[in-house]
Amino acid sequence: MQNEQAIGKRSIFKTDTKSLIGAVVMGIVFVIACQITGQIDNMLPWGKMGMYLINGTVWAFFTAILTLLYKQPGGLIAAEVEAVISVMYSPLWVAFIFANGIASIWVSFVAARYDMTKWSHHIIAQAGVCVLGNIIVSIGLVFILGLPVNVAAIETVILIAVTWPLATIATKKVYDALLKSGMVK
Amino acid sequence: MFNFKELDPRLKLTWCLFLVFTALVSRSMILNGVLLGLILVSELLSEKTLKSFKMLSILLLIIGSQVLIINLIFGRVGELLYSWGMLQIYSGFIATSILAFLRIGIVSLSAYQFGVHTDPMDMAQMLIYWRIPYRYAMLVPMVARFFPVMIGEYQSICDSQSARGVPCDTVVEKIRNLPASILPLMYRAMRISNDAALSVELRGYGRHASRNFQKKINLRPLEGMTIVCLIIGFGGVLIKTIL
Repeated sequence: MQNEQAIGKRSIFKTDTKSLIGAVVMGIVFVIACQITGQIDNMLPWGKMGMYLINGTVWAFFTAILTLLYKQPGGLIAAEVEAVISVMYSPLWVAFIFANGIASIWVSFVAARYDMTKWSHHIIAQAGVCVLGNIIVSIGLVFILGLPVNVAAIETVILIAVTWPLATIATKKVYDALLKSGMVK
Repeated sequence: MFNFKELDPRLKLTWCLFLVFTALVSRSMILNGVLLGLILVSELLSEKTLKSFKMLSILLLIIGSQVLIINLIFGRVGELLYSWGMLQIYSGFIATSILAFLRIGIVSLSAYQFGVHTDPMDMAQMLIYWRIPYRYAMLVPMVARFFPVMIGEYQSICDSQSARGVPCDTVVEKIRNLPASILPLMYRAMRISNDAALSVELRGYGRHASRNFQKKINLRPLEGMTIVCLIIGFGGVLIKTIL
């Protein structure tokens, strides 16, 4: 029954107008959420050292949940909307374009392979999002912000350690709720 | 004088990418300084003011100061200037921070200049010119259309929650009440997107393979030559950096 509830587990693509426009609008919500959490992180001690823990968690959660909701190219569109609008508040937008794109594609492949009903499926999905995404951002930290490599590496490890479990829990809970509510068909 | 808004979006995008990639490839402080100066001069020539850069410049100053502090504490380039316990300050931190500051200035301001001075419809036409189906290309103007709508929705949710005794003013309140403000926004976004999707489908969105535009983009010969010059210029910088 659970497997039957999971949406089109073998399909990566969903190209109807509702998915495309939904991805655009949810991409804007993604931007708003990232801006709010970025401001929160900036006011906290770790944010002043460049570690955006709450922001990173929300980013990983939205990247995964929007890809699960809208599949491709919707997930990619929502992720890239966030990356492009981040021009307004972060010089790391170049890194975000690649990080968001790769993270969204990773989630799509995991969702095509598994039915996303178990914790392990979400752990695998978020592993790719958090590890790949944060590694790309750390390259941006070194090349764009000019941070020392060791600092960028330590920041990335801490970010992955914090965002991976938190984003996995959030994604699983919200995805299960969306399935149960019938909003995802 | 020239007006940035009237230029072809392909030239504006090439200009933006030229600045971004040159800044990332080059390690020359002089070249990065010249590029940053070019952005400011082009903006002044076009708009007669740098007002549009004001907010972003404040943000970049904050990020720049964070970069300076991190490089001051953790930077290990150059000669040792001062040592006190675990704290060691090396001479290279100033040059690294200045270069990083110039880079973030170029990367952010060039993209912001492109975004502010390019009409979303022109961007859509540019994408259509690159053989992207208009169903996807038209999503760019939709982002521009829905962005202020969703910001307004978020403000109204925050006001409603404050009236119900769930304020979002301090940091602690913002963290605690984050789901209370974001989840209703997600529900509203789903409702708005469903309505918008139905509305555009009823107007024939995606029914035909192509669509017409009232104002078409047109690449003039001089603009085309400028694009070629920018590509050659970037090639020159790349070769000089590699060699």
